[in-house]
Amino acid sequence: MNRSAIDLTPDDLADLEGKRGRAVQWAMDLVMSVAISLRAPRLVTINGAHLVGAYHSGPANLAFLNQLAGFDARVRVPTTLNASSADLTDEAMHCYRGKERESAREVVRLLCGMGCRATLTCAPYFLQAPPAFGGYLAWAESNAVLFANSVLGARTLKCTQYFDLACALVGRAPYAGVMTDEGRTPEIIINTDHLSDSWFDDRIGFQLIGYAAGAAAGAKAALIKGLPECLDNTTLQGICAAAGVSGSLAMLHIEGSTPEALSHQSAMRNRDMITLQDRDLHNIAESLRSDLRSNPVGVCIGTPHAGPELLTEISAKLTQYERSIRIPIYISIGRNTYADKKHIDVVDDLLSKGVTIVRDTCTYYGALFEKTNGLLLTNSVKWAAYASTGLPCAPVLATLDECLDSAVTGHYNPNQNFWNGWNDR
Amino acid sequence: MTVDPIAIELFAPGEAKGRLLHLEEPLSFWGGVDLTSGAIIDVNHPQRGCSLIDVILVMDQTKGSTAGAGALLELIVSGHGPAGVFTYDPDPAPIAASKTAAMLGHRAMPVGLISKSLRPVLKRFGPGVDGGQFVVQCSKNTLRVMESD
Repeated sequence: MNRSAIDLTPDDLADLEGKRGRAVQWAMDLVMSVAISLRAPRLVTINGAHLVGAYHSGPANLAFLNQLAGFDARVRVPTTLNASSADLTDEAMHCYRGKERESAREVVRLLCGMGCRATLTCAPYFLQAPPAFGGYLAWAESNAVLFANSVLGARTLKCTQYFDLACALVGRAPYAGVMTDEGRTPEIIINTDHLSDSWFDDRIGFQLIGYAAGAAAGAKAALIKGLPECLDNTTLQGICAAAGVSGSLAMLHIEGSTPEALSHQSAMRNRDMITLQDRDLHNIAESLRSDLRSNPVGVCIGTPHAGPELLTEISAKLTQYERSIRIPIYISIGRNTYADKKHIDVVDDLLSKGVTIVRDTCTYYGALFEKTNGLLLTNSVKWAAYASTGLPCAPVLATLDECLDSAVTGHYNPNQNFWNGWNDR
Repeated sequence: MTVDPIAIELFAPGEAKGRLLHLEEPLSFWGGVDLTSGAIIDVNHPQRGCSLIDVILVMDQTKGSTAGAGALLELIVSGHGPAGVFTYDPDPAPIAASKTAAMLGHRAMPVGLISKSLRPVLKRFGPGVDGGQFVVQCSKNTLRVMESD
């Protein structure tokens, strides 16, 4: 590793040499090593960080956080925390119990001791004062990274656990990849012109396109063309989340919706282009709808955490049903959204309709559904993809209307118009 | 089947020797690997069931969740992790896990970059090919591939 390849300031060097303690030294050594691996010529000062390691990932993680706390580690920039592995609010009756929940609480306590905010959400872009266009960040959580770069126009590498914390402890990040103008130029075009219009009737159609785009792009910045214009934030959130499951890209442009898409039009002529067909989306959907034989036992919404617009939409849709819900609907949201005075009415309305609001965590961490052997419906590609390895149940990707219908009727009847006549097994 | 010593660029230092596991597709350590056994459990991964324990892991890069470094740290510290990780594309996750494990006093796990031009060469030494077993030794800035005893 060639340290002379990177231009460090006197402050960076002081951090690296251990003059500001062992936590800072560990952090700068890691930031610099990653910078060299990414061929960054220098580091840049960041305005904020978002850490993925706010959940209980295991005993080694707890030991490490305790060690850092012992070295008086302190973040140098405003730092928010991602979702926990448990709902840590006092009144929560669900998700991890006993020791696991106490470990999850301890992780958050240690990080807050270092100056982090216990936001516990995987959708930090819905917090008040979201990042500004062009500002440098060190964010982790694949969906948040994609949203910050693509939708907000902020600049962050796709930081991994520990590297995100290291950036926060030194307030610096490598100037490489999507941090630079060149790194934001799309290298691959995803063309959606040939897809049937019915995919656009529900947000999961857009998510399946996001998943296909991530799989095709890998680590490359992508541009998706041919979608309806001015997509809302909930739709963009879903595209970003799905692309983050299948790919390792940090950014995607969406023609007609994201702020930097237009500036790359002229650079796009000689790029690789992938044209999506209905069959491509069917194949992805099929892998996320593997078992439709049982009856639904639950509906999981809010992966990533639902924002206020989606809550309002669900509340309005549920009002149209004459009957109350028969199987549980779980909606995961951030604790800040829950506590925000502006959203009290919609949250109360959902609670009065029998919806369970889960804060801080994601239902795919498992403990909600330990004894489940029926179908768990979700309108999130990300939830369906990750729950298949973590839960003893059959996740089924379904449209929002299918999810709510099933919750009211207790049965799942696929909407053949949406699925383009494709025969579900 | 032999191959000349391969030059690597190390980002996390260390020496290691282990059986070669050449991944055909990117892997997410979070959700894609069983933390209690070190086995690949991603249902869509072609090498599902392969163990990561003490192998020299060679792959394009990790994919998916940014929590992968946390999962890899747990694997390393519990003894279910690879002996070394080498990628064809730069990847912060194994670097972060290795340096964090080292901070905890754990044996340093080397992490480095291999030139993409060597992918077709190393792919031939993957598991199941020719029925052979190959071990890889990482020392300083070189990887050596050898037939196992």
